[in-house]
Amino acid sequence: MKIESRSQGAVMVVEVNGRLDAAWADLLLGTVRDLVREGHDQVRLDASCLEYLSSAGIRTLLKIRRELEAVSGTFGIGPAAPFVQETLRMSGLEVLLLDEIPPAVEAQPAAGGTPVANEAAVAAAAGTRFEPHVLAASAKITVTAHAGWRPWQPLLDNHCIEIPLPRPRFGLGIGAAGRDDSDIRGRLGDFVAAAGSVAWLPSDGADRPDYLEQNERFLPRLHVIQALVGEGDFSHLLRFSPAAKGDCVNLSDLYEQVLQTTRADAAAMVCLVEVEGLVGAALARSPGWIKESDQPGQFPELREWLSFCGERVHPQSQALLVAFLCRDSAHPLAAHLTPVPARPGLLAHAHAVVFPFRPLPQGVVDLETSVAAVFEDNTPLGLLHLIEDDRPLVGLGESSFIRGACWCAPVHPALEIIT
Amino acid sequence: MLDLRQIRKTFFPDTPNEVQALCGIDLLIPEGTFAAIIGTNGSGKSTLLNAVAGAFELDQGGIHIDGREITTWPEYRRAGLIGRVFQNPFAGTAADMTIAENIALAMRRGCRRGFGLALHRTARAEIAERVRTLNLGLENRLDNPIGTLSGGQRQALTLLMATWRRPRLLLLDEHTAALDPKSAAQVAELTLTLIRQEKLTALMVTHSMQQAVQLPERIIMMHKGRVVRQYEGQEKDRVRAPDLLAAFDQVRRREQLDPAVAALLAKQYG
Repeated sequence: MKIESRSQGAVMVVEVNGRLDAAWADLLLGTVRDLVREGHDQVRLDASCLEYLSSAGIRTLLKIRRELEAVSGTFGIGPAAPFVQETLRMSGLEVLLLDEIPPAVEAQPAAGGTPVANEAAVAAAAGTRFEPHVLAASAKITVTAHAGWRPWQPLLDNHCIEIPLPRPRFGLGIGAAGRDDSDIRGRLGDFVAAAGSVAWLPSDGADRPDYLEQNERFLPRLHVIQALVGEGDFSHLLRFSPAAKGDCVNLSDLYEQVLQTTRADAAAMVCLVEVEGLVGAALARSPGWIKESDQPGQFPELREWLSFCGERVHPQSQALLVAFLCRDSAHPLAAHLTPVPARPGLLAHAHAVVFPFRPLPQGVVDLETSVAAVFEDNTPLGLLHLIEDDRPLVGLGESSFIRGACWCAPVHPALEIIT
Repeated sequence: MLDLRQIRKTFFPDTPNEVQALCGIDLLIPEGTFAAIIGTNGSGKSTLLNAVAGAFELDQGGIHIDGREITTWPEYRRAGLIGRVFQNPFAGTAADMTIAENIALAMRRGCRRGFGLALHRTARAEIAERVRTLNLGLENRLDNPIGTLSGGQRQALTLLMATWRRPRLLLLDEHTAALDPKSAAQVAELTLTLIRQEKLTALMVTHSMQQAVQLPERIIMMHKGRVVRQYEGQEKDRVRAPDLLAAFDQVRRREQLDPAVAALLAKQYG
């Protein structure tokens, strides 16, 4: 089979020539998914040269339609060879057929947010196009720091606190879900919380993160020994996408964009991003096991306690990222952040939980709906505390992203600290 | 039951080529347990099997089978307790001898040899009966040289020979790795059948994560001469091939955490 795609206004036309059967269906699905990744959400299949359509092919067409509808896109078949029309009608799937390729639908202005006319922000990071939208201009995030435990001291009973993490709270830190403090002592790991979902990587040898989702009266709760928790409305939504194929944005550039957009020295952000590559570490052993005689922060003992990714991981996956950042070392938040080597003076703390790729609708999207959809469809693949590896020559660099949506807001200067 | 206590082996000690092949391995495989050993190249999987089979002397540690210490036993003496199948289908059989003659040798493994008839009628009938259970149609070809068989057929016969006298321990050293996928699946299936039927204690080295997940009751993961992780019980039932690959990744990543990375993490993690 031969597959060719061409742009016709806002519509991408995919022309298929040959047999659409079980052997070729995945190739068509992959081609359309690549187009969706590139931001094309209006796809038409030109099936005029299609010679054969099996049930596997029909199933793929339905799958493509479903995936495009999930991102508010459209999919249809037209023109189609007579036998294709006949086959689809007999299968009761004439809904897929279009009489002709419709005129291009112009991109609609985003609903629910006001685009910001800020050319500097739009073109700031080379290779990436940023589109800031104002959600609630004066909104600020109140941050609570639970700082009972600091690396790498032995864990005491009063270091652990149980906190509810329902929407609209979001946060990151070290914790675990369980009955009580003694139950979670051996499983404490890095966590990410946003929009009523909490994911954490248990450090008891588990290979994948576990998660809790808010559901009716069930509120996710976590026992934490260290956490930054934000609460409040986001002032902006920052959408970003590559200016050209292959472009991506580094985490530190994204930080800079967030601070510029929010016009703040300290900000909090929650992002859903398509990953180019992540660099980070995660707890490999629970801090609950640290003894007075241990030196977990020292090499080589550190190997037992932390796991480093070793290479750029999770390319082309989707990540839910939560970060707190500030460039004012006098801000109370600064004490809970670490320096960002790529941006001297900037301090940040970011965790990301990774899922299989799922396209995100364009324009202004709702945080809660988007995060709920990510958790609903997939099981998390990994979770990392993001690190910038600035070692000369061999360093892995920093995490970078292809496109995404970043909800952000300035952080209220009064930080509540619970120790 | 196989009981390994702190076994150590270093090849070419005190030379530039020194290799610490086994670094103090403790392992207890209970009676009737089928365990698979997985690991990267050079992790010590096959060395561990060779150590148990008696291919070399240990530097330190003890090997016990069913309570008997066999650490100092020579290889031929251990053969009375241990059945073994190698990766190469041509390694465990004599190509010029017939199927029946090869099996006759296996029937007497570990026994005192005499001048009796090599193959009397009863023994031949027993051989035909047992070979029939392989479902390979070889019971009618007992007088054919074993060298005329395919790799898969030959490995199936080797497996049958290795388990003929119900060994106290069966060692399988990547015994399906040299076979085509269909033959490998058949031999793997036969392996499981024989081990379950005879309730054998078995140790299998494999590079196939699928095999490690599907066949044994326990998975032992080795790296650089050490057992780094074991899966058994419900954890073994839960684990899938990608989980094993992820676990290997974890081990590899741990090694990449050198002093420079440690300094990086000290600054940025916390």
